[in-house]
Amino acid sequence: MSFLERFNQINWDELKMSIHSKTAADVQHALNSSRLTHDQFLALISPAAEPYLEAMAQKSMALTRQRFGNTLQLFIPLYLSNKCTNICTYCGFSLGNKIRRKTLKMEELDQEVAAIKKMGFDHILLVTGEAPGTVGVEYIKSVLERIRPHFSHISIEVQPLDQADYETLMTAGLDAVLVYQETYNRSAYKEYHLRGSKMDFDYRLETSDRLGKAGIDKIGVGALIGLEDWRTDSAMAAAHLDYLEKTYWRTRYSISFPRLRPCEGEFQPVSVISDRQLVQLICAYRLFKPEAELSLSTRESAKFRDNVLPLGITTMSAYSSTHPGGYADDNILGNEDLEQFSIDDNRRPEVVAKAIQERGLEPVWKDWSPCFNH
Amino acid sequence: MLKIADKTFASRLFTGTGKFSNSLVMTEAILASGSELVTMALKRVDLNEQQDNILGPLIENNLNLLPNTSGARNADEAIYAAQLAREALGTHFVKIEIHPDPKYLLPDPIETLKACETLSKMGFAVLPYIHADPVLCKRLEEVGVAAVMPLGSPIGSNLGLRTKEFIQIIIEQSSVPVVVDAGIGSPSDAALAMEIGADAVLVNSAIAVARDPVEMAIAFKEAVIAGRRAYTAGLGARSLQAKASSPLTAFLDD
Amino acid sequence: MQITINNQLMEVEADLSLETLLGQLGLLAEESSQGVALAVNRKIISRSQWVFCQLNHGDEITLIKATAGG
Repeated sequence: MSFLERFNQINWDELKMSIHSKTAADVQHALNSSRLTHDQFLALISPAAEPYLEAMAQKSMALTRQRFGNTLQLFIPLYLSNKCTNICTYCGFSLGNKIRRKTLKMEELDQEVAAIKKMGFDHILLVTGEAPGTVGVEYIKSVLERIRPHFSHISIEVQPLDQADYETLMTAGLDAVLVYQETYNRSAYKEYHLRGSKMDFDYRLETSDRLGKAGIDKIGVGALIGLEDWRTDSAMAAAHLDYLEKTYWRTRYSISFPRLRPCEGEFQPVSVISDRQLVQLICAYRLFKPEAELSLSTRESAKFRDNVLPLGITTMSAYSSTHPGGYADDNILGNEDLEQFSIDDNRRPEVVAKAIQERGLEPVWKDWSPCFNH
Repeated sequence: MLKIADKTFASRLFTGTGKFSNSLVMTEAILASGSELVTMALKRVDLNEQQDNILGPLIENNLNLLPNTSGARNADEAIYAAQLAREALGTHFVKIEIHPDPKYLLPDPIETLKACETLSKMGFAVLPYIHADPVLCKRLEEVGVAAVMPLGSPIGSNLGLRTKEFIQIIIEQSSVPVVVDAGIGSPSDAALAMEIGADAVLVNSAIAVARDPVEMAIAFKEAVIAGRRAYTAGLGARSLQAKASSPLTAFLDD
Repeated sequence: MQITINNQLMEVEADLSLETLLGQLGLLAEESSQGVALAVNRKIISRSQWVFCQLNHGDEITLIKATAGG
């Protein structure tokens, strides 16, 4: 049993219609409820909810403070490799793109870690493309073992793996895995993923189930906004989250809302989500799942992040580099050749931390202590 | 329609057969309630006594029978009782009721979980009677129970939904039907349980010891229907007081 | 031979079959056997097997019946 069975029962077009047929009364009802149903989430992301944005933001902020207090967790992504055997038409690392491919050697990894620790980070996200020959489970395991002593929380965003692989990595020190379906629309997915293992929609969709069965502490889900109708894709992601929470109830969950931006390859998003709509989406997620982590990356501008972070965000990256080797080597920084997507908020971590404090929140570097299980 | 295991029910009011003054009143009240599922206990046959026959009328009226394991003090005894019940009544439905404490009759969660795991594997449709513990409910779901039956308050106390907030959490998190069982003292308690989203309620004492059990059964019938209707119509909760602060989304207008 | 039924000692003839015993106790009739289950030495004997079950000295029979309860 996995999400796949539930997923195959959902009709994309009916879901889309359902969202667009929500009325102001539906939105008001959702705003006045606690313990929202998925159907109420649809009302909150519908066009009918747009006039209610301020009310949604107020409630979202209150719920976030109640659950998470006045804190915001900081983390940094570390790109281990941009080598990739997939063709994903929207991604800077896509196989066809002429960029310099790099995979960190262990010594280079040490330098990256040293630079990152100097900045104060204690939570780290390891990112790779998909090239199991060079960057397979063994490589990731070695990295985990090597960096484990330096970080209190390690998550990864890599190719989907088997349950046994995840269990191996968990023993090596893995705390969380982020795996985004990109788009939950099967036919659109087919058009975006033209080569490589990533073409396997079902295997990717069932990754969260394998993670839940492996007993991982935290799973991150989401859609890449822009690949298809953003409302319907988000409704799917929310349904996915709902299923996971009920099934793997011992697990924590995180949601992201990466918005498509320009990258090497000139890809243009099919569905554009405005700033206002992204705020609506973030608040809708918070109202639907008060206990979920909401994560905002440096794809977004400094101004947007600063204004949105008190409304419902609980974790964010800072000073991200999507270049493998980008932290230790100042020469690489600013070199667009190696980028996966362009960063909009380039501020140094201490500047971001100050902005957080100015919003009345405390930036938290360490929120986790693996003393019982490692 | 409510589906539990392989059975569907039009009525969301389940009833018990205990504490009635006689079996005639019991039958009348159960029929008046519209209930389609009744619980029963098991007892040792006393050879010296005249056998009472409460089963006949229940079977004649096509009521679904749910034997309970009341009397069992641990998992082994409950498993044994379930097997005897299946043999006696020809149903694979069983209510697990293990209360080693004779004063408050509160359920033993550990023995209950053990019994449910074994009985589910043996093909029973297991409905455990438990405290309103949301984590316990998820554990029971994992071992394959057909529904969960969290208590509102101690058996026979008629104290209503003392565990309301926890029942709400259970309803929110459960993937199996939730039947509120024990402590429902009045039709308004039953309506409230249905309004917060329970799939069904089980009522025994409140009907059996009412001055007019048949009338009370009708009242419960109507309350359960009303509560369920209100739930599906979409009750509005009290709205959250927004903080009086400067607008949070004004920055989007720049 | 001696057997117990629901903890009550009973003297019965040797080589008694379960079915015969139940008949003697008036428990074979449709109405009285409705909702009844029994076990011999904690092993449940289903109705269809009653006729084949031979009782021995010292056997403990548990006889239960569905009754009123919550």
